[in-house]
Amino acid sequence: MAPFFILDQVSYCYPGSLTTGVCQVNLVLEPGTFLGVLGANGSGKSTLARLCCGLLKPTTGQVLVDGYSTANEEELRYIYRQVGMVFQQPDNQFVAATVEREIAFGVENRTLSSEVIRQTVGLGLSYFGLETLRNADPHSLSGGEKRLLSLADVWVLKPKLILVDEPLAMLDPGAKQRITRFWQDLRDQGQSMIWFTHGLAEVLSADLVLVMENGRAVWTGPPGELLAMPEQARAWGITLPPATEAADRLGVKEPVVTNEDELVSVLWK
Amino acid sequence: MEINAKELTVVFSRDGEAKKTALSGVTLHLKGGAAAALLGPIGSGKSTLLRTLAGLIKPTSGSVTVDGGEGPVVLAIQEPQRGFFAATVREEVAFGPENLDMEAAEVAARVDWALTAVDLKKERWTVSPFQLSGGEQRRVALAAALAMKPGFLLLDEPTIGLDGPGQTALITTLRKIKAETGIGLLVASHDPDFLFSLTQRVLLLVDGRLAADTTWGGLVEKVDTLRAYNLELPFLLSLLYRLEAAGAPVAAAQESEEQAWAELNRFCGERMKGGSGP
Ligand SMILES: Nc1ncnc2c1ncn2[C@@H]1O[C@H](COP(=O)(O)OP(=O)(O)OP(=O)(O)O)[C@@H](O)[C@H]1O
Ligand SMILES: Nc1ncnc2c1ncn2[C@@H]1O[C@H](COP(=O)(O)OP(=O)(O)OP(=O)(O)O)[C@@H](O)[C@H]1O
Ligand SMILES: [Mg+2]
Ligand SMILES: [Mg+2]
Repeated sequence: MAPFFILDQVSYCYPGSLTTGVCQVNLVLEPGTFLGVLGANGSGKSTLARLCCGLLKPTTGQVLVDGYSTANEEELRYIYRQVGMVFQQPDNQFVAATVEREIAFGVENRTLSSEVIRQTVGLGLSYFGLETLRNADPHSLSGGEKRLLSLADVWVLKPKLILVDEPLAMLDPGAKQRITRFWQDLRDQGQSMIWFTHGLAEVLSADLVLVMENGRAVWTGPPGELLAMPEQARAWGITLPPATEAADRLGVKEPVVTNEDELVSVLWK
Repeated sequence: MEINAKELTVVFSRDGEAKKTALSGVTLHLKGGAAAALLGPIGSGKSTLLRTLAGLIKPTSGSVTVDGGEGPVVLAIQEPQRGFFAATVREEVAFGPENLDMEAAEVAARVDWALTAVDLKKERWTVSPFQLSGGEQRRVALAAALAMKPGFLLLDEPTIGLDGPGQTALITTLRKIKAETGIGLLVASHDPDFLFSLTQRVLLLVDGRLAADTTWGGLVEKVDTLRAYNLELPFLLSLLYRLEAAGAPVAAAQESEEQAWAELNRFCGERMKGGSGP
């Protein structure tokens, strides 16, 4: 049996552009993996995300989901059902006139049962705190409300692989915590996920981290190892957790801390 | 330059839905040469307030007046890609200054300065702003605002999408122009660490109302209010607060990033010399 998700020497050049979007990236994912993709602005994260969901077709190489290729139009229809993507800019994904219709849109494409649709949409609205906005035009929402809607959109579809491109941007601290816990629960249930960001703190619990630089995958390893090389991580444009930065500046070398609790107990023990 | 907002109320009406009061009786006096942070939960009215102050929304009631000083009131919007229209990055950034009747040579110099200030790679200056990554688009939008030589700069979530070097470049630039030009700043953000590094005054907006008008030190005293709205202190203040609560000899209510570091360094220094533990 072929592994569930494969990037095989994937490259992408934007038409008419001199810079490479993504260059010869290889990756094999087992089901249930949480992968973090890190890198500076313009390093190729979002391009890679669009390649992974089939929105862009590789210039060379191939992207395979359950053995199906995104390069093949017929197989792509299968892939669209398996891979869900939360875009960096939520506006780009909205198609419907109201929040409720927006969440229902994808679900309606998959089932004919109006009862199932109603229930699923109701759950999406309540999980993401959007009930009072159900009749609002998605484009009139505040930034954070748009982000929550874009997350709800994908969550209700229960795709096998979820891609999230800076999913915490535009959220307030309370919503950040809620959504982080929410992904953690999904993960515990075996959800496969790829999380694109430049903040290491967001992907500390990832099984594996891939670092992009100028379109290339330049480093792969567990997030803990990246923490142990702060100079290099910063040079790649990656932001370290604030507690790690503060500990570094205060000259705390051991142990490596990643959050406030740990730093408090190191400083006042 | 000063901005005075008096009893600002903004009511939106959505089709088939009850009216939404996004701002409710907000009265504010913003001074030139000072930097204020605008904190508040999702949907609390931050963007609406900034857009009203910039004259992009006409308030349902109340008024905004701008007094004295040179240069326009400029807003860098929350979703940069929504404002783009020009064929190249350079033209996008040049558009504002050109409309201010600057000389061509001065416009060109302004554009160079602004794009350098946000640390956008030079090879990206001549491409379409639509063909950029998210963080690159943010840099262009910020450069476009900076290039206008604002007398007052309103920034809506300026760090979203910016990587570490991008944030550092922005902080450095804003500090520099603040020191050099006496510009006024109002910055809305969900990133308290960024706000702490740049501002002295803190405005807390909740449900369209001004719930607090204080300083960072003052906010530490109000930490319970903050938590009630699911908001957080900047990391350094939160750390000091936790240490203080655990009985460590530190004072949490610090007014600036520099002061917070000084306090932490003092505390750590004394611990090294063998000060007592808990
Ligand atoms: N539509 C496009 N046309 C041409 N070039 C593009 C386009 N979108 C992105 N690029 C370029 O491709 C490279 C990779 O962009 P990408 O959006 O993948 O970066 P990213 O890692 O997601 O960055 P960010 O952190 O800023 O979101 C950048 O140099 C960018 O300028
Ligand atoms: N054009 C509009 N029509 C109707 N309602 C609107 C409109 N613009 C904003 N709103 C609503 O007004 C409220 C305040 O929106 P605003 O964008 O000011 O919030 P915000 O504090 O900037 O939030 P965020 O942190 O998510 O950016 C939100 O509930 C939003 O849905
Ligand atoms: Mg991106
Ligand atoms: Mg906003």
